[in-house]
Formats: sequence, C-alpha cells, structure tokens
Amino acid sequence: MVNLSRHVYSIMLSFFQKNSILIKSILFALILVSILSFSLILIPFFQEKSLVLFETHPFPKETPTEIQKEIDNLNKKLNRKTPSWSYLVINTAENKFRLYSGKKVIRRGICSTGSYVMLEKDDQEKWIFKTPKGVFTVGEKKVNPVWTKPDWAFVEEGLPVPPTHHPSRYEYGVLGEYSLSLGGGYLIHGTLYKRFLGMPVTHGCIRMNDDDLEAVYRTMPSGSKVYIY
Amino acid sequence: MRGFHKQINLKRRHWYLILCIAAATIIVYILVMSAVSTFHTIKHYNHTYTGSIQESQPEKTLSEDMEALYPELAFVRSRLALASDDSITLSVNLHDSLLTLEYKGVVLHQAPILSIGISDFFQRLKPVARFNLFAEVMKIERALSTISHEPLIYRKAPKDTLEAQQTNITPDTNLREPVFVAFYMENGIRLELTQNDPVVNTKYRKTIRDIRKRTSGDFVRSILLGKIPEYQPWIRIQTSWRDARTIYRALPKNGKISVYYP
Repeated sequence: MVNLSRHVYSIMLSFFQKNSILIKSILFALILVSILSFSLILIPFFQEKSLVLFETHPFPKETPTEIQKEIDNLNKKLNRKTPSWSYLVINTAENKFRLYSGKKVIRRGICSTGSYVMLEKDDQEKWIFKTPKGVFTVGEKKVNPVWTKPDWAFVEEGLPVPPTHHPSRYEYGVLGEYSLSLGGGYLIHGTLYKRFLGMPVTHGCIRMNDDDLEAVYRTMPSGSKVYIY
Repeated sequence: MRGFHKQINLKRRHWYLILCIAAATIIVYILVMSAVSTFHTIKHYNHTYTGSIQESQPEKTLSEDMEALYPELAFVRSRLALASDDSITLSVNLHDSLLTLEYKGVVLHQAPILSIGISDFFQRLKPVARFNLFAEVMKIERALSTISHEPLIYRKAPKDTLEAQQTNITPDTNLREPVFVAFYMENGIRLELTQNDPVVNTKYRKTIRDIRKRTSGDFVRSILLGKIPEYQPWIRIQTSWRDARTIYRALPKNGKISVYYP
C-alpha cells in the first residue's frame, strides 16, 4: 500500500515537472477567472460605495414666496386639465371602471375588456382582440343596439364569411340595452355572459353589467371622454 | 532530492506571490475605476444639466438662483410637460410615495409606493443639475421585464363549428406572474419597479441577475477597451403586484416618466 502511494506520488511529481508550465497556466487562468467573476458581483457594490468620496449638495430647506406662487400656478394649470364634466376611466389590466362626474367618482365596478387573442385565419388575415389605450370620445349612443357581426366573428366560430349586408350579420339583443360608440368599431355595451365580467374576454369592446351600463349611458352625453389604460 | 524539493517550493512561492499581486492589482484597479466611473458620471450630469444655464448667466447669479429652486417646482414643471404628451405617462412621487398614471394631466390610476431605494448619486449632483434633471421629462429607452407588455394569445382559426367549440378557453385569472421591470431611461437613469410580495420564481430571479450582469459586463468591457466605465444611477420602487402590472402594461414602450426627487 505504501509502495503504491509512493509510486503514484512519483508519477504525479514527474507529470508536474514535465508539464509544469501548462498546469501553472491553467491554475493562473482559473484564479483570474474566479477573480473576474467575483469582481462582477462586487462592481455595482464598489461603484455605489465610491459615492461616499464625493460631496453632497442637499436642496435648501427654505421655500421662497415667488417659487411657491409659481408652484401654485402650475398646479392650477394641471388641475384645469381634468374635465369638470363626466368622464369614464377604464383599467384594462384589472378590468375595472370608474365613472366620474365633476371630478368625483360616482360609480365604480367591473367590466370586461380585450382578450389579447390573436386570431389567425391565414398569413394575410389576422385580428388582435385588444382594447385600445388612450383617450376616446363618446360618439353615437344607441338604445337596444343591433350587432353587425364583422368577418372575425364568423371566422372565430368556424363559419364561412357571408356578404356584407347578409341577414346573418345582424344579431339582436346581444349588446344589452344600450351602446356608446368610441369610434373605430369599439363600443361600450352590455353582455349576455355576465359570469365573464371582470375578465379579459372581449374582442376589444368594453362590456358592462346592465346597471353600470345604464348609469354610464345616462351620465355620459355624446362628446364625453373615455380614458382607457 | 531535498534540494530539488526546496527549489520547487521556492518556485511555487514565487508563483503564489505573483498571483497574489495580480489579484490585488485587479481588485485595486476595479476599486479605482469604480470611483472614477461615478466621478465621471457626476461630472457628466453636472455638465449636461448646468451647461446651458452657465453660458447665459454668471456663476454668482446662478448660485443665488439655485437657492430658490427646489424639488417640488421641478416635479410640477415636469408633470406639466408630461401633460402635453399624447400618451399615458407615469409620475413617480418619491416625496409622497405615490405612483400616478396620467393622460394629458388627467389622473387615471394611483398606487402607493411601498418601498423606495435611491442611489446616493443624486445627492452628489450640483443642485442646479439635480433641479434640471428632475424638471425634465424622462423618456424610456428600453425596458427589461418578467411579464409581457401585451399578453398575446395566439389562436388558429377553427375549420368548423365543432373545432370552434373545442377551442373556447376561459382565461385563468388566478395566474400571477411575478412582476419585475427595469426601465432604462434615455438620460441614463435606471428605474426599477417591482412587486412588494415575496417571490420564488426563476424567471424573476433571472431578470434581476441579468440586470446585475449587464451592469458589471459593461464595466469590464469598458475597462478592456480602455474606456472609463459608466455608472448607472438607479431608483428602486416597490408597489403591489396588481399596481406594478397595471403600470407596466399601461405605459407605452417609449413612455415618459417624471420623478419627484425629495
């Protein structure tokens, strides 16, 4: 056993002597790499700590009157940007809405917005069912609206697309009692599928339950703003 | 034989010494370059955000003017500038711990900031530079995030009504992907928006690691290329998962942000 270990030791020693430069280079490279990776973790830390070397310049605590006046004026300008009449704010991430009247929230609740489904018929025809973000103006308001089914409604159901004014394009009673147009084919309307309210399931329109829809319809005249984010 | 071993030990010692010196040199060099990079960035920001004023006004008047300037004015000015933008914008009020999504000055969404971390860098800037920096609107150059900006679901059109019925899927509202977003601003500032809830998620950790790697990688690359490395000033804010997700998805890809630095 002792002889064997001596033998192994002598083999290792001779190997080390023969290849000493190679082994040392590998060792050196390994150490260098480990230092570098260690430094990678430390760099952001060092950078942050080195800031201690530099002088700080805090803002003065005093508030001169002229500056206060300017701030007040600018704040007034900002406040004037909020509509003083009724407007609607829709949160598409949470599928919630807030109805304002004179800068006060008068109603809040759940709604449904775009599902973000990208329906692909072929390479040329694609639809993305998302609710656009930004500010919109209420256009036409309708009682007992009729839904004119667009092409995607047939494609989605696996049906052949009929001609433009074909009777199968008109559906009655599916949009609830009221609808408010936001332009570009987007509507605020009711739904038959109330269990899906609060979920992103629509084709881009905004669905509400009957009571909320009625409140929105009655509160918001044509020309009111709808903010969607 | 003993003499031979002594010789090897001596040689080995030399190698260890060389390695130690090399390691120490690298660490000292990194330390020095860290300080140089922060100093260089402070100088750069001071120059960028005071340059135009210094040209038109004497130093003394500038410093007197500076006495009067303070963060609230800078914030209100930048918010007013945001209000002229035709997209959804974000106001980060570090003074009142409030995040506000706005559209043309109309408040759309407000969320409390639950935790704030700010780089000491901003305190090292000259007051006039700091004022001008925060009075300006910051534009997002790019963002790194754990969640998609638009959660698209791809679906092939069904061939018939039977297939259409089978592909009807109700969305999973219980799915809670953890949110970590790093907004890289055009002015060089990094704004990190994270959820407050604790997270055990590999993608979440990977994104954080990616940011750290990018910072250190840029640093090493600059050193190897003989350039002064960059320092990226940062602001870290935590809010609830819902608010973090809402804010990230509401902001356009090159959205604009204003920050109230207290």
